[in-house]
Amino acid sequence: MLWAYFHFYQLTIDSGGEKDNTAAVIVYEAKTNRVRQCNAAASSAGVAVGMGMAQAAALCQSVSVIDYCEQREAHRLMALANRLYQAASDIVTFTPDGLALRLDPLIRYYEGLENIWQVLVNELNAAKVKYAFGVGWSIEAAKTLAMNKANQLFHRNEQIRQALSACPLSATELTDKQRNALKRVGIHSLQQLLDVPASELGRRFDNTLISYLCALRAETFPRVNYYSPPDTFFSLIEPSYEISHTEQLLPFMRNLTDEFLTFARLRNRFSQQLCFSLCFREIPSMTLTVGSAAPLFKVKQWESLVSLKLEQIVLPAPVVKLTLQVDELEDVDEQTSDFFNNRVHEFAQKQLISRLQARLGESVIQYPYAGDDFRPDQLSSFQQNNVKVERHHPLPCVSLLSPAPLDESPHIEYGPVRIQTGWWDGNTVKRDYYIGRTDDGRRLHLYRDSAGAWFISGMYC
Amino acid sequence: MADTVFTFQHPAVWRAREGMSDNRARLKTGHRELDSRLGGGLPSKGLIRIRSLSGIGELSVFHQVLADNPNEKLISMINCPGNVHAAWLHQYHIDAEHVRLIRPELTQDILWSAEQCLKSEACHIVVLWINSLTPRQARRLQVAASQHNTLCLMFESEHTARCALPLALDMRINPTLTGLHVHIDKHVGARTDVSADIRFTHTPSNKTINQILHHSPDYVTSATG
Repeated sequence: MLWAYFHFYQLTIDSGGEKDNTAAVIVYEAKTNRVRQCNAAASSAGVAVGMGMAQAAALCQSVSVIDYCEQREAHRLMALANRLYQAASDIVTFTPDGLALRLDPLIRYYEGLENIWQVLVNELNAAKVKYAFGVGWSIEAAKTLAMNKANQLFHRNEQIRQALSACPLSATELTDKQRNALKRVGIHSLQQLLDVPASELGRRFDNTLISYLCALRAETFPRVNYYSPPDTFFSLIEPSYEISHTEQLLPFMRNLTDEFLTFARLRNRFSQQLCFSLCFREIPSMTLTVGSAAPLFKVKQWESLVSLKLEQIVLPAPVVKLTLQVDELEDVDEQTSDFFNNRVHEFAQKQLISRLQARLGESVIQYPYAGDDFRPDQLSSFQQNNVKVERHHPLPCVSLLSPAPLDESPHIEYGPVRIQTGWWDGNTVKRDYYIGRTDDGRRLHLYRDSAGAWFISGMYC
Repeated sequence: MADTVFTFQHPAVWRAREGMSDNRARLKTGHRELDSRLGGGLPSKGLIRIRSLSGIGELSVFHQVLADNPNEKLISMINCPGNVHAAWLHQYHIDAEHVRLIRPELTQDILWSAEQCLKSEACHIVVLWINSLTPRQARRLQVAASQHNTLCLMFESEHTARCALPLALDMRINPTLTGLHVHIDKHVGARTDVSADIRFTHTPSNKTINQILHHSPDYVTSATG
């Protein structure tokens, strides 16, 4: 057996929808007076998980605090499990922040461990959650590795054994009492513990420790309850800030709709209405029903309906929580059979992309150049950018990866378009862009820099 | 002799008197002269070779084929000589969301990715830039493309030696003063050795501004004060 365990160490922060990464955010549990999660900005200020509130506040004054709520995190975990259920069937949830997936039955279906792994990684990246993972021969082994932030994909048992023996005892699920007892008999590391035969330990320790240890060594396999998605859809998001403008609600509603459509696609069913409810701090919550006469299967289509609906309402108070509940799912009949006609492509696309990435590396897949910048060389190709591109400057079809010096004399057909900008980030440019036609009829995107040298930056293919 | 006669009666054998077999789905290029020579448009599956210089508008001329993607499948661009601008795609109403650029380093990886893209049936069109394909490699791509109902547009530089390949369609594109000249060297199931002149401009020019400057200087002086 081969299991993967994902530990979502900042699930509450990730689901809060905070766009600004520079602000320090911590998740605080009042019951134990402990910081449960902190984002990168907070940890660079010195805040660490396990600190008290006073210490965290002293280290970082401008920190924003989110109250920890286990139930909310469990809801997000279920949403993630539902998302991964498209790619993997055997999922075990560990509330509030862990998921275990059985990999070995999938290897054959996806034709290789790397392929299935890439599908999972892409799916989690799309869900915008941060995670630590471990891969091991049992759930317990994988979980121990994940807690130790192993973050490596292992193929062979020796690799797993080696990685496990490097883990400290604190990464395991042993209680403090058990660890102290082990320490008293001189066992300080996991390797020592794994070397001792179970029969020896049985004389001194209780049954729970022995059975845990056997599971860790993959000698026994405890029964687990696999995740099975519910029949009706319910999901909720608690944003990390109070929302008082309706347009700020839209991205959250879009995420909920996206979750629902994944859920529906897996079942080959659809719904004609989405029932959102907006919860406020003191006054009773408000329901918002968005209906459509025809079955819709795209987020974009639902999003436009939702935004129309949002335009009409006035929020009586800031929203603290959003939920989406869909109780009635309808079967696809003959009249609506083209509803899922792109169903196959979606899964085929995911498989294709992950297959290419598994063999050729993740950076082999790139996106068209886009971004919010006037400088053509400052556009990015490593992420999907949905910025609407409206330009006065006709950019070429293909832009060369690095500009080439111009060694012929083309006839200038268009231009100049002067780009003089970039004072804010140190990459100041002053260039005149032209379109030139060469003698053999090629059209080149050219520029002349401030020193008067000419370069080819692209081609109008 | 009997064998030969039998072969001629095979349904896959095309006879010139049958005319263009336009019963199959064709992808319209949007240029009337070219579409009529091609019997309605590009074939909807198979390997197509386009030999040209790069930068004459050889990809822009097929913009309608790229944009007409009703099932929202992927458009894979493999081994593109640079990076494609989303602004250019937007200009031709091609949804940038569905375009993926795949840039492997080795030739065998380029061919492997092209084959995977074709076989997955997740792609609307696979655009491939590659020179000097061998007949064996081309055959493999052609079979993958036609069996999985996907179109593969292959761009080859005019500077490389021309090699006869098993293709669905083989074209040469040359620039003219008003547009492009397309010559069809090979076309399975249709007349070959025909050519079409397309009026086509894919880049803006200073023509209008020059006309104003040269022919009506008064207008310019009045406008600029």
